[in-house]
Amino acid sequence: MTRRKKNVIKIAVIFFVALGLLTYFSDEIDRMLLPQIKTCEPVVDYYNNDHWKYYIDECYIPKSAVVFDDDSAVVYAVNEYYDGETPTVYSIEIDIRDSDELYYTVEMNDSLMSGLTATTQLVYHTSKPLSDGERVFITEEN
Amino acid sequence: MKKVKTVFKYIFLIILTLLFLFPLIYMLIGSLMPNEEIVSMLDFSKETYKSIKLIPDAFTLDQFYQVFFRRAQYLLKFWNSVIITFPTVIGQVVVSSLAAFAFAKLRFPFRDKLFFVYIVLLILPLQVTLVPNYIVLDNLKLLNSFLSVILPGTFSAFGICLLRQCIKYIPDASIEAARIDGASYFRIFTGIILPQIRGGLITLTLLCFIDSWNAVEQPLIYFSDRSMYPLSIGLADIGNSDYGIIFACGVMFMIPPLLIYLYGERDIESPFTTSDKL
Repeated sequence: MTRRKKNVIKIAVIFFVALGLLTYFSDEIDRMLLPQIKTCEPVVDYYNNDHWKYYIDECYIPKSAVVFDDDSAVVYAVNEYYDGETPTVYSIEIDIRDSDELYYTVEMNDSLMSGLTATTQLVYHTSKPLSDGERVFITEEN
Repeated sequence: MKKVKTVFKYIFLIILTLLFLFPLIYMLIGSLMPNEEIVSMLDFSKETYKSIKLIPDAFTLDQFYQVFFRRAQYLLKFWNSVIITFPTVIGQVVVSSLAAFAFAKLRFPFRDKLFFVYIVLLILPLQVTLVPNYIVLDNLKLLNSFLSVILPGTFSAFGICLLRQCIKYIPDASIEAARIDGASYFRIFTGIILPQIRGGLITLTLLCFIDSWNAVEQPLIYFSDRSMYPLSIGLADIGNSDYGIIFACGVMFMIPPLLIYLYGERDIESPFTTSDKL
């Protein structure tokens, strides 16, 4: 066998073995490359009044969960139940009313009302910057 | 005058070569471009190109990063192509060489008439046999399995016709001498025939590989499970993917046939150089 043919065989073996390993470990590689996030439940304040039994007025969000983008502030949320698929984050615009050392008091506006559900968790820590619709890996839920 | 002719000949050949190589070069360049830059070249309203850039503004390996590390579905499609192609090639080479030996050197009833039927099968386009094949595979309960593409590819008339042409020119005297020495037909096949048709085997391997590697119609029709589709179908599904990723997949898809060609380049024989009047 000529030297050229031996080199071609070496390249072919390396190529197929590399692709085989990448395919076999694709799930683990993908998980390692996903943003690693930690989530928590938002603290929601509500009161009764005569007309509406439960009226949600304010929400308390950890300061680390808020991302400031130009003029707006957003939080990223993820659905707790994602049916075995990789969870994805979605952004919610918020209006900040007040703040203390750890939390922002946020007005319960329309986007927050529609974005937060009973199974929603807020992202308060991420290993990489997030974008809307991005797949993530949840390392800790609080 | 002769020099001018030579110059014109070379110019013509260079232009022709560039024309043939252009899609390949464009695919390589496109795989190194950001997706936004590729999209900026296209005019979607008229479905044409606004401009064609062969030198990207920014080189990036992001497309290859996406294909190899983030989008495992393309790797799985690549392996589907491997699962379909390699057994088909091995099967066709084995079956065709044995059958070609029988047609070329052995005498049995209706040999020439049967070979004529194989010639007719060669002339039939693939699309004509798709429906009958589908019915047969359905009855054999092989639909939606890789065997539905591998088996029809293995038993193909093309390889038999090609290798028969190669074996036909091996002198009968060498076979008769081996028979006198007590060699069996299988021993004659492996010891005398196979070494002398090496070029034909490599040619058949390459042609069969390219044919199976690029198969689109049979997997589309015989597979109902989309996860079994090979990469040839994935590449055709360009509307549902990023263009840059399609280019990167194309580069990955191109490597195995290129390696096979580089391996057997010196040994390839043209079936037309030893023609036979049928």
